[in-house]
Amino acid sequence: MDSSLNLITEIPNLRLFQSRMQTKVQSAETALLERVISGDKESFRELVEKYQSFCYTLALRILKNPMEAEEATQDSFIKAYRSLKNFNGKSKFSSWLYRITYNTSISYYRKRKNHESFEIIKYDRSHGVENRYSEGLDRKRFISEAINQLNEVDASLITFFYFEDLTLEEIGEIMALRPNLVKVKLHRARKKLARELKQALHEEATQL
Amino acid sequence: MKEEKDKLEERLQEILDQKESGNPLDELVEKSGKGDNEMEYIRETDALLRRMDTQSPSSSFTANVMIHLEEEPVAKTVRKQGLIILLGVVLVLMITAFYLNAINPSLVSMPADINLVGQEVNLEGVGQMLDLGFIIKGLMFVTFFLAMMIFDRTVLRPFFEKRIAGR
Repeated sequence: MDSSLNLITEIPNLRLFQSRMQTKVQSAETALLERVISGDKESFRELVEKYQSFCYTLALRILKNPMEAEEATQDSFIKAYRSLKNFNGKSKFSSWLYRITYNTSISYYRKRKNHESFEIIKYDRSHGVENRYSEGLDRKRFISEAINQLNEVDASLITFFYFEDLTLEEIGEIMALRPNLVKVKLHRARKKLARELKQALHEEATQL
Repeated sequence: MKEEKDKLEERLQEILDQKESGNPLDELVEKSGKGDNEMEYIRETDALLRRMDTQSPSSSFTANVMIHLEEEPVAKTVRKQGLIILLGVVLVLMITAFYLNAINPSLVSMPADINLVGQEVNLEGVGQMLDLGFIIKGLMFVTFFLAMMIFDRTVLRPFFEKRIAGR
């Protein structure tokens, strides 16, 4: 009883602590942005190092090609730097940067679709089966490959929701989608991945 | 039966969207019955997705971005804005000088009157006229100086920088 009471009193404290930490991080970031705007290029390096992994992962999920994803991510950071003066601070810097990365990657994807010159490395079921069954199914790797099978919008939704812990509203803001639509699409994508996993496990069981 | 399944699925979706884990999720999957294990796969997928890590670009990524920033910095737009402000100042000064001159044209150049030679000259107000003439000349000098600065920044410097870079 006592421990549950403690938990009830600790939760608001924890939330307060979390929000204070978030405010601290945001104000440090604002100071960093101000330095960059005033001409201190080196401060931008910190921002690149902080956000490069997620931006690259997002671009990779959309483009499904590491080299192209790196190019798109690089392009996104340069675009962000150039238009930093237009960042009004109404949204979080990260959300603003992710929107730039998302839009840049989508435009790369469309350009490629028009040219069809790039070879997309797609998840090959028949090839995957051999590797999977020799050492048992590596579920984490399987899911990663299955995300690559999703279309660019669904793959982005999954990436935003699971890799960056964004809320449906934040995702909607970045991708210019209504939160309800984000919810529906996310559920469909999750279900699709679950079906793929079910099928793969079923195949594994029959092979054994 | 289907309605109940839809409801359970909706609840599962809500739990997953709120990023809740633990008891409510387990209870719900349990409730869905063992015959239908779709929910269990959704839960498993969700758990796997939560454990996924982001991927990193190549080790030279940051350096590459920073090199590109050197080429097209924010400073370029700042420089552009500075030049526009300077041009504005020159225009304002030129207009001011023009209007001051138009109000009293005799202030700038006073023609000599031969008939007045040898007569007593009334010097009342000349001090004020000279002061205004001095101001106009000063304004013209500042305008000329600023115009030269603009010429230097927009024509001369880019020209010599290009020549140096071409070597």
